[in-house]
Amino acid sequence: MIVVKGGTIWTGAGKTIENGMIIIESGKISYVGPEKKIDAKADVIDASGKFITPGFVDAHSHIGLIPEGLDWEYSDVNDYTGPVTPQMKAIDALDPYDKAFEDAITGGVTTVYTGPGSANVIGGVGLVMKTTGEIIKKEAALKMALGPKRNRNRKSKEPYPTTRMGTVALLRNTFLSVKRWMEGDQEVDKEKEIQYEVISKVLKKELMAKIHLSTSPDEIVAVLNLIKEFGIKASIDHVFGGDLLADEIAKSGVPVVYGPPMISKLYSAFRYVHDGIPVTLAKKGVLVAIMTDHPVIPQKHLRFLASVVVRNGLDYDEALKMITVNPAKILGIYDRVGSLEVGKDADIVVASDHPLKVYSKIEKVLIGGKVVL
Amino acid sequence: MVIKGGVLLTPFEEIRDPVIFIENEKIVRIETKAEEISDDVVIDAKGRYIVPGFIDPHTHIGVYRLEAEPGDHGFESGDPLTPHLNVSDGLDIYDPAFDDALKGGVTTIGVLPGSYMSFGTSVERINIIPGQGAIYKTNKKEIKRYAFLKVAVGEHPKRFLSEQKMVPTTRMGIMAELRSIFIKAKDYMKNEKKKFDPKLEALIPVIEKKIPLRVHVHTARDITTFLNFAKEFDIDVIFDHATEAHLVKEKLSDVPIVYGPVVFSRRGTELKNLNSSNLKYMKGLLFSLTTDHPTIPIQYLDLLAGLSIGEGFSEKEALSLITINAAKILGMDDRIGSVEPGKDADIVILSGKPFDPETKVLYTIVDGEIVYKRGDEE
Repeated sequence: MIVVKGGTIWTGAGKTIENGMIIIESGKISYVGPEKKIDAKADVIDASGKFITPGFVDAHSHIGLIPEGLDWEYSDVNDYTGPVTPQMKAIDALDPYDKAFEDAITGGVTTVYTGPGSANVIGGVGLVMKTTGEIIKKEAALKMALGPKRNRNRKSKEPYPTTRMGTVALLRNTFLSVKRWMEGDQEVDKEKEIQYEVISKVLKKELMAKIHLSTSPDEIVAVLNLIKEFGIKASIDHVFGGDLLADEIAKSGVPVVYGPPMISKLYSAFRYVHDGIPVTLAKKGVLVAIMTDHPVIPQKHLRFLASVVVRNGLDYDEALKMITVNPAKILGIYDRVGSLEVGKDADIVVASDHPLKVYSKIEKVLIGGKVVL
Repeated sequence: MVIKGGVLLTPFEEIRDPVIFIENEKIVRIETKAEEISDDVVIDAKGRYIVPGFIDPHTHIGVYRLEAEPGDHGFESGDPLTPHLNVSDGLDIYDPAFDDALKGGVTTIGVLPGSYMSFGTSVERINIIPGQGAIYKTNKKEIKRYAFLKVAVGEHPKRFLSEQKMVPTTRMGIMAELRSIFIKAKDYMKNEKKKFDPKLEALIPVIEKKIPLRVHVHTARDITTFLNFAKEFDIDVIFDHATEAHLVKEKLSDVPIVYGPVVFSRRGTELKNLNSSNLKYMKGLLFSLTTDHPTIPIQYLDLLAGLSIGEGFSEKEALSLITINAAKILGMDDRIGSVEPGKDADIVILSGKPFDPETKVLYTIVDGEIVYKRGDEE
């Protein structure tokens, strides 16, 4: 039994508890509440005067797929085999020795989604893991990416669409073809069958789609239409320009994994970027998480990005939810992580002050009840 | 103009309820006793914090613009040594980053010719001498046209030159090229009947120690090499980025450093030791922090400085990293970097404590003029 004692506990679910206590048994939280008398036999972590929160969750990262401090030959995030590659799996390329994992823990990040990049229209299957290496969901989401594609002069198996409408058309026609195959109305070759099996899980809502939108608002409209048309479960990711369609997104109920915040409008594709977007979306009632898109912003600085969202006008509670409760809900793992509640994994961050104060220091991190920092 | 009340962080000391008198672009006096004030403009800063305008010595504002276009790489790509180019000649003063800077309380910037890095690739690219840098106030006034000469060593120029099928392709070759052009410039200075050579002309102020070299460098080995080079030619250097400075701290006691950006991924082997937590090893060195805008947008300079507090710096020290230290490194601490009589009236009024994410810039004053005032919308 481990006991975290004293301090301010921000549970993410209900009221913040002053002078609180968390009891951990077998890696799970068995009590959260005001301080109470406990059995003498417990490892006590004194957190008096500290700020205690759930471990941070990043719903969109490429950690372990582009290991840090190494050159491009170690990057395994984008494969140009063809525009539709649902058969690819992040688990096959994951480097659990990526230095960024250790680093992530020092920044209080305890759970991450990591997966293929945006080179392909359907890129492959991403996973969810703890930053200690434990895989939570081997198949967490199928990555899809809108926007024009380039195969960069490679001999891909099939041609890449080069326009935004070409990408949407390929996505829609692939879904239609898989549907026809699922209904037994057409046969396809074995190679396609392997792909269609993965895509069919999305059409059956057994696997969520994670859809990259970064270029312009037309993609948001197109993808909200597709999600509705095929009745799939999805998050939309990046969503630059999302503030322009905040009402439509809110109405659709589709959650947003925004970001990363704190990037410049360096490329024409980034002309709709500004850090007020997640604030506007949240105020309209959209379920919003923010991403590091590691290595774009280093994994450990997820909380710094939440501070940037505060700087742009959101309150601390809502911004903190964007790296705890909300990403856990979006990834479908809120039953295990994202808040401090009885029965959940004991993934706990103890900081010297509110963790979104940039000058606070993460002093202790527990993952699954184990002290890892 | 008079600013009255609040808490002033000069940043050397904390003065409560100050009355700051500004005349003709300068701070003329600071009093602490409230008195009858009659002035055209009186800003009531009661309950607010007053700090010097922030300074970022290493930005590419105006060089890389919104929606980058051809020619926006920030350096010429056909020639690895272009000391005769000045960034002011290609600086777009309508870059919206100037406005972002004012909203973020940044009042002075160093502008350097750049490097380039396409999104998602592993390594930056830059040539050996990309050109001359300038100092600007964010009210778009040029303060010094030729303020420093930028040089880059290590993996980044190596990578760029190799990709372009250009030479040299090793660290030995890069240093040999630099040595060669400096020797030529010294000869050129002695020659009375010299044929005009714009490249060698550009090196004269460096050799005469009128301006420093700004060295793009990451690793301890390259820092060591360049310290030797600076000694060989008796020139002043400032190290920029200096990712592994903490590993050779003892050699850097009298070398200014523009450190960071501290929030940046470890792209490529050269950055393998990058970590914002290394700030704790930097105590005692003369350094300032940088956004390297557009790497980190300029308006977040103060938030980056806030990270240093978590690594053991005091609030005053953290503020110094983006004010007086930066002014010293730019050789302008007689004019900017602190709120003191005689200095330029570059002053920022904050809604609350510095470094708090919820704190907003209410006023940015540059050269005694209000150039940004937060609207009443929030």
